[in-house]
Amino acid sequence: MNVLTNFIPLPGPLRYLAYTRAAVARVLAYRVNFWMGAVGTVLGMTIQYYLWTAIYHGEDGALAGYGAVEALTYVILGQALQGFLHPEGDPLGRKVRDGSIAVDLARPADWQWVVFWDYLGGSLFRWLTTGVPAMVLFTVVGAVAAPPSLGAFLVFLVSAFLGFVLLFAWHFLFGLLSFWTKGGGLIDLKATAVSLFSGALVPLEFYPPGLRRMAMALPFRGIYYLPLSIYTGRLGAGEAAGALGWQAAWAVGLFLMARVLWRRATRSLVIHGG
Amino acid sequence: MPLIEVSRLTKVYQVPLRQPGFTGAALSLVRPSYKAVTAVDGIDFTIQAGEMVGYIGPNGAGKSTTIKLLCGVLAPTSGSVSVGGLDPHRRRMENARRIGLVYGQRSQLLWDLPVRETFYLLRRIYQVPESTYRENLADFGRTFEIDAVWDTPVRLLSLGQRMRAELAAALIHSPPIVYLDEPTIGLDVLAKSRIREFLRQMNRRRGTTVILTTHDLRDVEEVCDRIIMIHQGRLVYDGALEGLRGTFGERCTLTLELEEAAGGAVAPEVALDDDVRLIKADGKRVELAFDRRRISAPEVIARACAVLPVRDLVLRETDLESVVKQVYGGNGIENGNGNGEGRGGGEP
Repeated sequence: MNVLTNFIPLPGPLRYLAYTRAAVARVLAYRVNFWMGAVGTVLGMTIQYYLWTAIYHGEDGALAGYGAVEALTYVILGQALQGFLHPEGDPLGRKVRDGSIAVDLARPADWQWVVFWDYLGGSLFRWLTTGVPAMVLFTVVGAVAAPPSLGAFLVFLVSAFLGFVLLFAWHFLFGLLSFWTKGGGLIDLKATAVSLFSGALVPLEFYPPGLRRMAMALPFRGIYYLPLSIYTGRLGAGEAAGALGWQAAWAVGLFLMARVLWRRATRSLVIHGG
Repeated sequence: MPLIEVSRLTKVYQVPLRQPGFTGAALSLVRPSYKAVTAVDGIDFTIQAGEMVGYIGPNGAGKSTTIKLLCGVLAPTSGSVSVGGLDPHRRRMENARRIGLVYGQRSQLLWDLPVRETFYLLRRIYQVPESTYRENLADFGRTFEIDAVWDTPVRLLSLGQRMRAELAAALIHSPPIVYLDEPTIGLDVLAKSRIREFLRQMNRRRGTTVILTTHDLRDVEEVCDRIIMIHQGRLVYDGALEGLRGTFGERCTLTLELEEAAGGAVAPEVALDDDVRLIKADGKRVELAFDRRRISAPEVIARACAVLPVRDLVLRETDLESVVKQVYGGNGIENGNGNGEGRGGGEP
């Protein structure tokens, strides 16, 4: 048994950053894809600008409590965030379906963290290189409003990160279900739920009362609605702090839930193809 | 105490069953039915530290499933696995730090990125000390020719280059236990022999335990001291290679196509002594088996051409699959307990 005693000590959590680095390198490996994505984001933001300018044309008042500038800021930033928050395709379900999960599981790494840091790498990189400059540009030309204060901006950054964690947790939970369903249908269900209830498309105030109450009760609003409302200044300091706590609580809860489900899922794992 | 202990190990997969046609597909949406497929069926064996074991059997025998159970990637349906005193599934992370693994059919390299990125990642994930990392890379240099592809994206590598990189990646953290699922697939003869030499050296110098699945008889002959053979999920042979020598001996098959069917009648003349055996003389086709170490291929061909009107010929090396078939018959171990040749042979 001597051969087994001279191991390397238990590695620290920072080692997962290697997955983040690899994810960034992967984005860079396909330059054309990267630029297409960047152009797509800016185009999407521009479309939102014209769409919402048209909606507010001839309205001197507010719609659903939103003035033109606040609504524009909300939807355009929402568009910029989608590049950050939205993972490409369904990498998790794909790993299960094509069996490449077997490679990850043969390594001394916690799978939930592997997938998390991997997602974060690609998302953060795309956001920093596309979403942020585009947002600066839109602010400079006066299409959107700057955040009310530096403090609000910093709180927004934290809130957006928690939004990412929430979205990831949902994604992971639904992805795990493909262990049992062996298909990708549930991911579409998740995508629909997220785009409807998270406030990614319009501020939740624009919804009819019934739908709005539902969206406010569900945890999806932590993904877009809360960070965006902090950015526009709709949530004051006290409310923003409450929002962060709410987001963090859900993020931790969902993360733990995913962990329990993951434990069960590994027992029934079937690996396809050799 | 043995390093690896496998006892009554069984893995049953639930495979979704589809009825044919549209109605069947629609029905399976509402009420999916499953079929239980037993991939590994009550296997027992133990492996001591420092052994080099060939784990062989035909396609679909359950080799890869066993490897995944040993790695802890899959959970056994029943029975138990212990590797260095750990249950590899329940303590997957701890177990993973001391194993190296090459899957024959899937890559652990980062597909879109240069080879070096995989090594950077593995170095971090396994927390390989800088000195070990450098030493290993230098050590791998000649065998795996890793320098030449260091900056090349994995997707652009040839199969041979990729397999060498896979091996280097599996060994970069100096694991004391190495599972290799078809490690020499797609390599040329020179590269294969270098890798075998490397594995032997690693075993001698570091006492690395190696478990190898393969189709290539030479891998087994040159690397392994012991073989474990499974067929249809059950263990059919466990013991020294010599136990199968009779079959292994006939390493080459020569298939002759004759000008006229009558030639078959004189075919036995070619197989006059023990060196060449006549397997089949069937009209225009004659099959001979011989041991390359006792008689050279040109000699056999010359002998055959001297007495037979040979029009064409095919020379091929016996692979493990046909060895298993020869030993246990085409449809396996139907009469259950007739295979007690090695220790721990098939149990009722």
